[in-house]
Amino acid sequence: MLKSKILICLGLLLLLLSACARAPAATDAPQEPAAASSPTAVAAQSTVLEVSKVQEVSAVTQDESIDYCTDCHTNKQKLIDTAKPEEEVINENQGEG
Amino acid sequence: MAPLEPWEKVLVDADNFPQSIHGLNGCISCHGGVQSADKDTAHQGIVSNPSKDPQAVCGTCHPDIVADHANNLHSNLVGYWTVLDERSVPKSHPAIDEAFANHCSSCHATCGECHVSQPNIVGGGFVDGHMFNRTPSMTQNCTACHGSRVGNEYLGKNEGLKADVHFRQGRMTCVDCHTGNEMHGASADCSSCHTGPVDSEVPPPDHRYDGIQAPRCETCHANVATGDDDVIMHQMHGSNLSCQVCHSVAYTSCDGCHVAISDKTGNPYYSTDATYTTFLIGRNPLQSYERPYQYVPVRHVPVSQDTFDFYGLNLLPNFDKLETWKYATPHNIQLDTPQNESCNACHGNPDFFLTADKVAPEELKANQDVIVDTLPPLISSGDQIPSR
Repeated sequence: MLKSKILICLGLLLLLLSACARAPAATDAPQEPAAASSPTAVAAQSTVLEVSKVQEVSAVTQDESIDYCTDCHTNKQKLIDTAKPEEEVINENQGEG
Repeated sequence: MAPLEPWEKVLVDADNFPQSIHGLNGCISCHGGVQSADKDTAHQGIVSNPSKDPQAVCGTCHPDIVADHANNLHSNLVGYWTVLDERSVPKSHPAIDEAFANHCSSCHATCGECHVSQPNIVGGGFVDGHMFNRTPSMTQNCTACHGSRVGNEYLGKNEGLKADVHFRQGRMTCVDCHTGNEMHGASADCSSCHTGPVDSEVPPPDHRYDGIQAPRCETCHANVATGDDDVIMHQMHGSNLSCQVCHSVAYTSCDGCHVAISDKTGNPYYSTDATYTTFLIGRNPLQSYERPYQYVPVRHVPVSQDTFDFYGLNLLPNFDKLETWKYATPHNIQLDTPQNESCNACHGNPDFFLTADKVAPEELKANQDVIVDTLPPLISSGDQIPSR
């Protein structure tokens, strides 16, 4: 009888301990409302939002069936329109090379 | 060669390239970058000349050719160092290294600069809409770099001088004589023509006129070598004269190349003192089993004792160890030339020979092995033979 009481107590103790281990510690990751109150964190959060917006936009404009490289590089007019002007290199060499 | 417009340099052949074997790989597999409709995004991390690292891109499918890359003069530029090492001493090397990096190292060709684009040194740009050409274009690749001497001679661009007969009548291009093996720095493989011992590969030559003579005129003109062509001059001179001694006309020589960094722009530049055409026969300083000739044409190369003075004084203290009038194989072959009109057109004629009076006093010592001291004697009228 005593033996079974001890076993029940031990079982309850283990249950209590495992419950304690699962509970979040007070010093763990900051809670969202507290973080949001920090100006830096607000900026970071908005950047994250902006990036995800860009990703959404590019997901709309990027079509996986298009090879953008050849699409542009086979289009003479597009290449003319987007060409960066070449810097003129002054040739100071004199005579045959 | 007219420079290409910026768009022209990068315009891909829409009809053929995407379906070609290289096109099917996709641009990014070689060039990197990003698939994007936005140009700046698409070009992030792009590699404009992927074959700068041939092992990584070309070597996947062409391992046999890339394996020779270390020996390829187009890539390793060892030819420069062969002569610079000879003329300098180790103490000079740091300064010469700097000069080399500024002025010489751009004279270099990757796989793509022969098979896809014009060389960067002339501004680059696709030769054929990014199609990979097995055979490089003679004018847009080979003579784009080898233009001022070989190109001008071969194509007849020197005033008053005809193009090489192999071009004029044969319409031959560079690769008709200069094989891919030679261009890629592969070792000569005797057994490719002469079946026999398996282990017949010879090491790559140390310099242009070292080792097996390839190309050689007799490969096509075999009857000259065997004496079956009834040309008495061929039989008389046998192997004493290189073919060019009788069959070249005047070619370009240059004097006094100096290199420096511009005060105005900060860019490296060179200047040469003089460029002129001559035809001069000298003694062969590189006589060997393969090149037994007593006489060869000689061309003045633009090196001078003070070429690198901008980078330090007396950087070529062993200047005299190599001649400045170099063994040459001009690419302007003609059947009839002024020197082969008759025996005495050449024999006893000082105009055709590099005699001491034609050499700058400060270069006499360097050229002692090529200067002709005694002209071949005149042939008496009774001994004259018809040229052909």
